[in-house]
Amino acid sequence: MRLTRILFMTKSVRDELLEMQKAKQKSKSISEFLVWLYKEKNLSLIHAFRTYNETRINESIDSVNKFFEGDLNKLGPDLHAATYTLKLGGKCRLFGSPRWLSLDSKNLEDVLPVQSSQNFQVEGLDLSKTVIKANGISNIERCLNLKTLRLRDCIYNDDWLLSRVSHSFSNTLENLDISNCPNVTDNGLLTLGYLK
Amino acid sequence: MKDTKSSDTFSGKIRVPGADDPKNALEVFKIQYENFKSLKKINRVPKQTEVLVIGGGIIGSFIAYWIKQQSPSLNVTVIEKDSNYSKSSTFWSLGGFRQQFSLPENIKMSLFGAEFMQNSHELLKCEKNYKVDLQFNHDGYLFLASTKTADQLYHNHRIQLAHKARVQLLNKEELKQKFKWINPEGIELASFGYQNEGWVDARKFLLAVRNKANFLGAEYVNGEVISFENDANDQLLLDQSVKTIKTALVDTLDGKLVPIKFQTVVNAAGPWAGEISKLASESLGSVKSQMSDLPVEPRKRYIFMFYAENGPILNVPLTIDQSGVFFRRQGLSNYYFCGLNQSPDKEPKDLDLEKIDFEYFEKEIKPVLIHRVPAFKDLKLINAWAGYYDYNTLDQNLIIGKHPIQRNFIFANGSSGHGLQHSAAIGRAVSELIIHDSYQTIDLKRFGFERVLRNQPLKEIDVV
Repeated sequence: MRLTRILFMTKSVRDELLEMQKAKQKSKSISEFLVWLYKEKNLSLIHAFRTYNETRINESIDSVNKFFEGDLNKLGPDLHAATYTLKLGGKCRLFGSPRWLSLDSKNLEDVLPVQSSQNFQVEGLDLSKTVIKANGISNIERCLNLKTLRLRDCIYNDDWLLSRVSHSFSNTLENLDISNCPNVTDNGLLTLGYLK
Repeated sequence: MKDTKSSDTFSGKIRVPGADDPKNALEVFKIQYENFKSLKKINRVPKQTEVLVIGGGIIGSFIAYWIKQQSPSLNVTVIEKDSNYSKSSTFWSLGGFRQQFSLPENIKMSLFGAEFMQNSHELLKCEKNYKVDLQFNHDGYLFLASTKTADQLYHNHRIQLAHKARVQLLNKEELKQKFKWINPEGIELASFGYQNEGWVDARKFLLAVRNKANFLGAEYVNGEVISFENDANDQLLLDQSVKTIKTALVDTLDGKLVPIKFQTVVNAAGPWAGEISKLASESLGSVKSQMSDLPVEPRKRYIFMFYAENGPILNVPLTIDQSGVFFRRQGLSNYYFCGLNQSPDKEPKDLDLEKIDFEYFEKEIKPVLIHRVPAFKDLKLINAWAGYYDYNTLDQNLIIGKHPIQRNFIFANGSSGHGLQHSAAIGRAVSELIIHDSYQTIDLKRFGFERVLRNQPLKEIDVV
């Protein structure tokens, strides 16, 4: 027993044994392997190579546009909306000041308070040129007194997003900017009838 | 040639040799030589498949789409008897999507459908559907309730909120504030679905799904199923040999009968699903426990279109009155659709889609409309048509799942009136049954065929 084990440890013998095992199995060529991948696992490598970048981008966009319930419970609705917009690359304006705050190479802690307080109210959000989608608006929906909302140049702006905006901010919204959004159709504009 | 009976009854039609019939090399060579000689365009009907879908409407096309999307190696053929869709229920439907149901499975299915519509421009992309814009209208559904039905509406509302549907309850004053064209007399409560609800162009939807299923590899065959043929089962069940259905005789409308051999068959024939289950039970002989009748039949429903000069355009959801009258806006130039589902006593008995009862509109629908919306005083009726509901006489809800004895026969019928919004979820459920043998996204065991055998209806309250 010991002799065989010692012999098996040497490289040349091990390689020969592996080659003998492989010869017994069916030899699959590369084309057969690709066909098996396409049929059984529903994966076509050429399609995957071509759309690799696109799928990566889409996955990252979807991961950002989720409903972050834990943060909302910690920070409260207004502060959560403000931090979310700043993380996406937008700007926000607080109640009582005309300045638009943004995150240009600064830390979050310098710009916004860490904990919510009663005086903290968001009056305007600037989400232009961000990748916000309909699911991500659920983080912003619960603001109480939002007055301006800018969605300029948003590529993923949809009718679904507009219907959410018009129904959640129906009482308080005063300015809305949807210029240069290519995916908005007249069905989305009709939903704006619920704004006052 | 197997059955001489079929060739006697369908005289004048040639039966094409099937997949199981023995062939010599000589015969095959002769057939190929003749085809080459005539150089005609041959409509190749496949003689054996793995999944056979009977019915090419929205449910059948969605089943083919989901199966091909999840496992492209399965062969799928869809049999549709009329590619002009002149009598199909999807073509004439108003295409409404709503979440306001009282059974939780229905709510989940409509939420799944709304999610599908959100991503439809990516999922239904192919060569023919270059820019799929299904024009989903987001105006929502508005249910009005009097004092009698207000409790039921509140109860339904709680169930819908528990499943994360986006629905709102409105008082009389809130109703008047939001919808200024309404006359809130006699209304106690209203429930308004503000998101994931609306309507879509049903014909565009159907053709887009059909094109995508074709692109993914499903084959559409123009023909009508005439009968099924069975074969002895491999296993013995309780010391009795149970027969299983294995081939379907299809009458391609060229004068040929083609037998198609299959592994599983899906009944998605809409209003004519009862006839197909009868054919299946006839083919199995007179053994009682093997197949019983499916309680689905076609019922005629009218839709009327009218023009109102002073009618409202903004903020008009599909409103359903407490009497059952519903109406919705069409386009932006004061055209409206309306209708009323008849109670079972007053239903039209003829099934001819070209006979329309205009008195029904004058007596029952018009006074209610004028009472509810005062701006509809100068109504002018313009157009009307009729379509079929695939009406489930037991409880007007979906019947889905495998037959308890014939394990290769799957039902997907009976969603009377709300099939289009649930079609994405139904197709997904059937594809999961075929591939994984169990439901994975939405559990639809309660809608199985067993409740028909036990005569236990699962009713939905306040159905349009």
